[in-house]
Amino acid sequence: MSRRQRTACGALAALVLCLTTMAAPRGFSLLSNKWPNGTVTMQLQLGSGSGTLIDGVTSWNQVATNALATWNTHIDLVKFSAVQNATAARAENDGLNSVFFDANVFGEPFDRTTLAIATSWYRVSTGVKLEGDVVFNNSKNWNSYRGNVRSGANDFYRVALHEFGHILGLDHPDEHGQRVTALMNSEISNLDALASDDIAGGRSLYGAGVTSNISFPPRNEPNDFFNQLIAVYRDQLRGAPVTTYVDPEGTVVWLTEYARYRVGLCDHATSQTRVFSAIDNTGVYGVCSLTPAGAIPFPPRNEGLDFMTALQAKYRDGLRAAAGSSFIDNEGAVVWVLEYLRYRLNSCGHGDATTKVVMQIRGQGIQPVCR
Amino acid sequence: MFRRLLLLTLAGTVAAAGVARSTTVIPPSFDALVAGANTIFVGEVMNRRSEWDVTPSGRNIVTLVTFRVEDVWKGNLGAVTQLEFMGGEIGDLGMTVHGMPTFRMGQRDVLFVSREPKKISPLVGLMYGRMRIERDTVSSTDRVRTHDGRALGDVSQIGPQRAAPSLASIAPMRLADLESAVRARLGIARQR
Repeated sequence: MSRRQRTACGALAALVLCLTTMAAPRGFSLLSNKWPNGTVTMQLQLGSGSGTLIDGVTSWNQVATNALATWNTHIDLVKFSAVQNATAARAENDGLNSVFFDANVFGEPFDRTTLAIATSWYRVSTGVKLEGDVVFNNSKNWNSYRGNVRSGANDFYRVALHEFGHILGLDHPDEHGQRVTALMNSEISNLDALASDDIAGGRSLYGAGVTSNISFPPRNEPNDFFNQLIAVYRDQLRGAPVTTYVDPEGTVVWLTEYARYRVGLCDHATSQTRVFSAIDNTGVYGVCSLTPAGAIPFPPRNEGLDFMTALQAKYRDGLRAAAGSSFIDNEGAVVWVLEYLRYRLNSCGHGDATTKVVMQIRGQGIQPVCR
Repeated sequence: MFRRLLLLTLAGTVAAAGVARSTTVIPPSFDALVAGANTIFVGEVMNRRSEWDVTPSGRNIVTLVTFRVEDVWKGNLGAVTQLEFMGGEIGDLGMTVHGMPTFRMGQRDVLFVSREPKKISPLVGLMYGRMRIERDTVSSTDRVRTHDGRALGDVSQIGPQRAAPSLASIAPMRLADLESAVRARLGIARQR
């Protein structure tokens, strides 16, 4: 069996394992754009003339501030701030995030059925949000209360929570085939607060993460594995050297970090962003969620390879690393390091995991894990 | 026994999914959709393009969607018509109006176009005035779904206090049945 065939067999095995251990699909739905990390300042121009509302709050700005604060308790990388009684002009595409009552949405009148509208401006190429505005229809009867929806009084608080969810980058899950309890659904029942699905959506965009409940092996052991893998490729597979910008230690460390985020239920893009953030020393984040009991979920091979390709580019263009050579190509590194980690995370020791991977490389098939 | 259990499960599921109202838009009833529409037509998307729109408060992006008109149920239209929706993309800049319908080429819809010509959306109830048409390839019958893709069993399921979808709605209602309901509603309105 050639090196390429063996790598392909390993890839296929990894794919099969991945398909059988993938996490359940999420419920929330995301827009194609999000804010860069930092503060999103909302210009509140709702006025103070609400009187005392049913929930005891005495101004619309305060209700909106409370809704913003509610989102803030669930997100980390982006935080809302509020400018009270802002006086900036109410204009579209001006870089300001305006929140106000009006009969029009930037020149176009509301129809009778619409309570509020959120609009977003963004860069198409990068998906970076530039501006988000919310306009509440001033011809409607508003109040603020908890509990079931009341006839003749629209609850400003829950509508604001919903619209600010759009400003963050959340879409309507029920318009994307999801059937979940969520305030971000296009139609809601009597839900008056963020549901777990809404929070999961917000955290998927801007959560700093949680501490993983999965123990990864100490760094020296994957490094040792990789050195043995190099020897197998060089001496047994007679692999020709290929150009690489990532040294062996970088390959192992960052692939392991990528796997740690994926096992912690981060998607591919989030995992890559967080690894690169660690490389750039701009922040080290936790994983996205605790790993559920049972088989450990691993990323598909193509995404691991995408990550490795991006890592090469990062070292070459971002870190200005010099070109070197390796007996292991990107695909081999991804497939076998992830296989090694899969054995390790399923209770195999360093020696056993290394042996099992080498047996796979020699064409002896997928080996049983050690659970 | 299994079939009965399945029906009961489905009935329970759809009853639990009953909804009251939207946070953004109050869903118009079927009668309000028909009455609020200046024109109701079946159309296929032929073209769409985005352009800048100057308003008193600045510039918006709008998307112009051109439809080939297949059938007109209310009002008068030529063979082709165009509707303008707020939002779209021009170059590297995009503007989204959350909830605004978006259209793809070749898509067929029933459109309830508002009496009030210049609104955020030209449709009655922003997105609710759009019903998606899908072709049942087995029976070659056109069937109708709501704007968000839910199976529409009958017109009683349209509106703010809409009934939970009946088991019949597992197969969406036929386009011909929606047309009959619209025409019947228009007939009642004319008699008054």
